[in-house]
Amino acid sequence: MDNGASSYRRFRDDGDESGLVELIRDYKDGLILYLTSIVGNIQTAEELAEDTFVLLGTKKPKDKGKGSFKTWLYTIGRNVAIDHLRKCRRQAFVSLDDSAELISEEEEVERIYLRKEQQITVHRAMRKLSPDHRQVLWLVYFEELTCREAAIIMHKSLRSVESLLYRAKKSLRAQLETEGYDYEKL
Amino acid sequence: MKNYEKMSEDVLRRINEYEAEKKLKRERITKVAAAVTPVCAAAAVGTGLWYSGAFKPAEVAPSVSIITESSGSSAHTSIKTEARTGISAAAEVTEKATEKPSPQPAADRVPVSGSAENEEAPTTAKEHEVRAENETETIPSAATAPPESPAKTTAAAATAAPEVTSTAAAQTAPAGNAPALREGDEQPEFRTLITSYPGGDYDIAAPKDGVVCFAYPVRSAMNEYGSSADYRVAVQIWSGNGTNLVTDYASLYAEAQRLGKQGFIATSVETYTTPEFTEHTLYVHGTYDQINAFQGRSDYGYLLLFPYSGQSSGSVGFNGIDY
Repeated sequence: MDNGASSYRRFRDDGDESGLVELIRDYKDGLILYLTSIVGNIQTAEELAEDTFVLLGTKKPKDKGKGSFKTWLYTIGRNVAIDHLRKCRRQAFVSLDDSAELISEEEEVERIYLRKEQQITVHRAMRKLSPDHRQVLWLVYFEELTCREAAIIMHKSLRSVESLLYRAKKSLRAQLETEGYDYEKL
Repeated sequence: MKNYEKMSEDVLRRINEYEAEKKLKRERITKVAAAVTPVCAAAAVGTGLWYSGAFKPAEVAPSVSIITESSGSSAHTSIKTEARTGISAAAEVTEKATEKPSPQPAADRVPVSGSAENEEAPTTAKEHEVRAENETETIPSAATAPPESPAKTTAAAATAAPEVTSTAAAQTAPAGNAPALREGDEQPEFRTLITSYPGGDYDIAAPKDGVVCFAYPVRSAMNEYGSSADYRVAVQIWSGNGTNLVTDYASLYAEAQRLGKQGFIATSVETYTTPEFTEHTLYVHGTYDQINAFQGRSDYGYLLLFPYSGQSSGSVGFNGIDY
């Protein structure tokens, strides 16, 4: 299992578009949810995920092979999201109606991607956390990446990711307790 | 939310648009480059030709060529004539200046050639060319006395300058620096020019009025080389029966003009100017016969010498070789 590296190579080297379609099928939802943890908006995250795949198709960057393809793809996605945040420095204002719509869209993706009710509950509780805490929890607990891989994606040292993860867990526990969930059972 | 199929469609469409735009841009750049490159190349070639002077018009020689260059510290005035054919070109005046304050061997300098216009027969040509072309002409010249025996010092009778009777057809020199030879011309004959000859220091008596003296090196050179070479000698002019050396420019220039009418190849007055002094020297350039038959004025005495052959200094040079 090469996590999509062979599909990408097929698309890049042979021009096989089905390779890119496979990548989108496998990584679209996870990338969108991860980018949502950065930009805080699922619609923007979706656009950024699409931009990430377009970037793969136009620039055709080469995977240096240092980590898994997923790690590399998420790193590109994160860079795209950070570029977007730099461009749009002003806070995006979302109306209450739009906000409700966005939440329902996110819940739909959660249902498709996470499937387990328990994970969905935790993911919803994560919305209240800071972006860094959301990111690290998403990468480590939902994408099941190692701390080292999460550090590569987040451009941080392993130590700071471990520290960040510890604090994120503490915040998540407090949040779940506030909402009436039993953290130990989750 | 888009499903993966819709997103794939959008992604592939955007990728194709990007590729198409890139291709269009590449084609546009190729077209612009194809249009601009010849223009730039032409501009570069034009600039190169412009700076190389190819577009500058060739300098057209005036009917009377008076070329004046005044820089440095010495001036050179020459009056050229064509002796062998009897064509007088006294109107050709060339003033030339060099930056060398020390008197370099004047014979090394070839007078600037150009057109010459005479009152009777305007003649223009480079001297070698004219000489070569006119060697076949048989117009008698007054300066054709036979060579005399190699006397140490020879006095010649002072007579008036001969009448110039030549009516040779006017010739026009090529304009500017164009090749001197025209199509069909024969290769000109180049002759040896003697400007110095070995000789030691010695005193020469100032010539009396009406007397023409040849310095020993001049006579020796003429004896040795005879008619096979031409000679360029300095002419000292004395007045008052050898009491006064004529050094003023106006008198020397007048003599140069007068001698020019005698048919010498070239006569000139060279002026050397240094911060300390200014010196004018009259030179004549002629064949053996012309030098031998030098005719001066009756109120002047003449001394013909090689200025750099040791008559007045210990340094002796002969055609660039020190002895």
